[in-house]
Amino acid sequence: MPLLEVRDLTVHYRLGPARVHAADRVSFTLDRGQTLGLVGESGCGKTTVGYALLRVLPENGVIAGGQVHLDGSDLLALDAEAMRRVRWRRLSMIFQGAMNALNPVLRVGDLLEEILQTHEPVSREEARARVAEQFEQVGLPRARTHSYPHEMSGGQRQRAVKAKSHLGRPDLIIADEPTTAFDVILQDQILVQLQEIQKRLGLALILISHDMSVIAETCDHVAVMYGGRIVEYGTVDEIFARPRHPYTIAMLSSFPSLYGPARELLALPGVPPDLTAPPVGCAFAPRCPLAEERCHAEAPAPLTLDGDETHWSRCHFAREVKVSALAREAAGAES
Amino acid sequence: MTTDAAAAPLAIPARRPRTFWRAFAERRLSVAGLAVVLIATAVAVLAPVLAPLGPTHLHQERLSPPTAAHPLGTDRLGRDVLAIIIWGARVSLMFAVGVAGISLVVGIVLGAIPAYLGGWVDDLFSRFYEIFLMIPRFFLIILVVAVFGQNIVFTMIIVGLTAWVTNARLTRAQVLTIKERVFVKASMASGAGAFSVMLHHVLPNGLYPVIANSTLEMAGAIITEAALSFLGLGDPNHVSWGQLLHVAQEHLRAWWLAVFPGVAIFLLVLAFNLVGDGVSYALDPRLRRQR
Amino acid sequence: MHGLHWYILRRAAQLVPVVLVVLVLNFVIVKVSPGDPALTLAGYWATKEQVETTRQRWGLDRPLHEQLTSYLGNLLRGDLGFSNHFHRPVLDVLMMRVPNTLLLVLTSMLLGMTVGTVLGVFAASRYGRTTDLVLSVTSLSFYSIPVFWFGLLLVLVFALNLKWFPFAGFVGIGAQGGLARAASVAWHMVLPSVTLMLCLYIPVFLRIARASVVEVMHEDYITTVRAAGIPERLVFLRHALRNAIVPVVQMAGLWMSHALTGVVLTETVFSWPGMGTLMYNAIIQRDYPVLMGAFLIAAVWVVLVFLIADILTAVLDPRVRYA
Repeated sequence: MPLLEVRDLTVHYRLGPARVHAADRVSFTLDRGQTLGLVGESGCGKTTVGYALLRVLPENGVIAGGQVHLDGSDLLALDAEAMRRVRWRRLSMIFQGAMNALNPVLRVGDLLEEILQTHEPVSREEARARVAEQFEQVGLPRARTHSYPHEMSGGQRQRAVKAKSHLGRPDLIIADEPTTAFDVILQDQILVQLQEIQKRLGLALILISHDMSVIAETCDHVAVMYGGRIVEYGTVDEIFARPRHPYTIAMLSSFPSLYGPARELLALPGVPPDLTAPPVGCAFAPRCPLAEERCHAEAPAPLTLDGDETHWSRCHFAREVKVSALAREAAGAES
Repeated sequence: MTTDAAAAPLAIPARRPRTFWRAFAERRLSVAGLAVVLIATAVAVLAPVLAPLGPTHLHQERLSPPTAAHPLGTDRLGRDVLAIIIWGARVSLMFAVGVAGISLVVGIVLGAIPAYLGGWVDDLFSRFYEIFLMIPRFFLIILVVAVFGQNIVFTMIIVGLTAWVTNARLTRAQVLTIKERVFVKASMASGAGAFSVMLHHVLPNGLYPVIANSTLEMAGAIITEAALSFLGLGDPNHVSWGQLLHVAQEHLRAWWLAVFPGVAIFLLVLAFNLVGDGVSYALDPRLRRQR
Repeated sequence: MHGLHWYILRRAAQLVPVVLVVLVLNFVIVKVSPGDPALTLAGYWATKEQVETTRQRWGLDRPLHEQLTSYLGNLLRGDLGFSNHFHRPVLDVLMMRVPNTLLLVLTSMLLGMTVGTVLGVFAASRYGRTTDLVLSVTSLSFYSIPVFWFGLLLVLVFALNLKWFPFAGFVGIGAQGGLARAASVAWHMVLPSVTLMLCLYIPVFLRIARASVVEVMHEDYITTVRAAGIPERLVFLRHALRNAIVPVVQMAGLWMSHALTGVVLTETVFSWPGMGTLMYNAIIQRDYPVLMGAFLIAAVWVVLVFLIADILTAVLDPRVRYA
């Protein structure tokens, strides 16, 4: 049984009288010790999925349908108190922008001790010792527990946030753009450390990112999101070697190669769809070079590829030559 | 022409009055406030028709409680309270509009210039705002009006000249944000003069928060005028709601002198505050998201 | 803590210009007042000799820069001018009244601030629901009521008709001895402070506190603690409130000059013998030096309030001390 099974997760945001369809029937599974990359442009719904798994959506967000099974129990069916006990303990999230993720008027150590004591019956001294120990494990000096967030550098804050997540030894960590806003060297350190801890604790990881290179480095599986839906899903090798959705191909062609200059994804004409009125057909059709009449009229169902049950794409032409030709063309232009 | 062509694809994002009104209409109370403001304006405009004798006509009955002839009673000189309230609406509204107008112009100029120039000019002005914000306005106004005379236009100018700081700060913040936006940079790059960029691109986009603030300022101006009149600093040549309250103090038994003009002030001030609330709501997508 | 001291000193230094600007404004008003500045200062009904004495004491017959220095010099020596109406120095006249005003302001402000903040926090905790809406609309309505009118209504209903409270003044004639006197003063203070609280302090602090808490509840660090499984009640009480109090303190400082405005008007209605009533009489008597003195005192009050707000902010928010 997979650790996490998400089925048809649908999230809306109320916006005045309108509703934003931020996540639409999102489904995926994740095994222990595995890493899933959720990738897409900003506004595609990837962060929303993270918030929804923890049920910490902003107050105008509504989970409109679906199931989230963690180790067999449906998180969406839990009452608020039971859900509260799942958070951090079983399922923890590292939010984007460590700058503002720590309460500015509390010393970092005090915050972590408070969280620890909320979940476990430990004495103050014990909590303090464990927090300090965790600080060392993420590469922060023990003395940093006495610091306020504004007294730390961005990298240190990131580590403190990470320490907070690991302290509870959860089964699953959701990391939302953990490397954004850091320079390349720091980015690499952050990723390496995430993987180390993942391996040591055997936990599962969902990595949310807009950056294909981050995904390539760390993930086992990739889910590409566009307009609130997963448009392609597969192992990292499959997705990078044989992308079968035009949007994935576009994302990959924007992935800076080692030699060539980075090319802009938004060489694609057009803008992401207006999610207050999601299109009837394929959400990507208005920007897709391969789009035909059918694409605007009919939403594509997931098509599995070449008998490989784990790789699927929501494109009418996923199995056709023109998609693989597009992929080759993009790869050719790349090198 | 060339500048226009260059800036065209990056033109000012369309302001959508439709969206604005729809969002505003979501707030029922703000719509009610707008209705009250419009009614008051109609009353002020139609004053010669509604109260043809004028506010200063002296009737036989002095200090008369409300009767059929004088629905809101009369004051100690025999002036009809209803007529005074009708004509007083003119004074209150003109005062409010005048104050908001003056502070709007002064605020935009004193806010946009330093923000646009930046550097030490900006720093200097920011300090200036800070000092001005702390000066006890009302005490200054009392002093100036007392020393220089009680003329409604003069008072309006003084109140307007002490009310610009918020507008200046809002304009400054807006200009600083918008200055960085693509379409402004594009026009600058295409050689448009600083002044023209400011006039055509920066100000129209940045004006909305200032307008929301001006609505609230009108509410404040009405109270300020009433307060000055109440303290005996009103213009003796014009009737006003506050002056009635000034008189009412000496004739507390004549309750109608105290009650009715106060209701008028309260309703109009509340109406302006509600409209201001609605305007900020309609303009701020963050507020809107949350309901 | 060293950083904190520095911060306070620096803020204090930044506040000095406000008082200076107010002084210069006073001087300018005297200089450009219509007619003879000396007459303005001495008062409408001053005798010729009084006008001449005033002219000399203020140095109005000397060159402009000397006038300014002698004016500032006078002020530094505590000479705010002479009130011909009261036949006393302005400073003495003001100082007799200031304590009464402070008594009224501080009492109603502390009470109103507490009630308003609690209600505002409560409204924020019911964000977007009926309770929140009712509280917000009610506070906006009360805020739209002019204090002087509400005061008049209270006098009409509770003093004149029901006779529950005295309708004017500070202390009853018969109230002798410490305790009886204090009780009588408190009794006289009920209506004016209720006026101030209902129309000014409670609505203002309700709105400030509500907006501040709502803002903080949307911050990332709140989502962080919520996602860490901290119970909702503690998220609100420990994490949101502690952060929300900082802007409340700062906004409170900004509002205080307004606070005095309301007090002046309220005192007038209830004949409370403070600065407001003094100013009301000074307006009638054209006793300009008293109005100038009141302007200066109001400025000093604002500056002190700002300084206190700054110090409180620095104590509450660790980030400020290093800014």
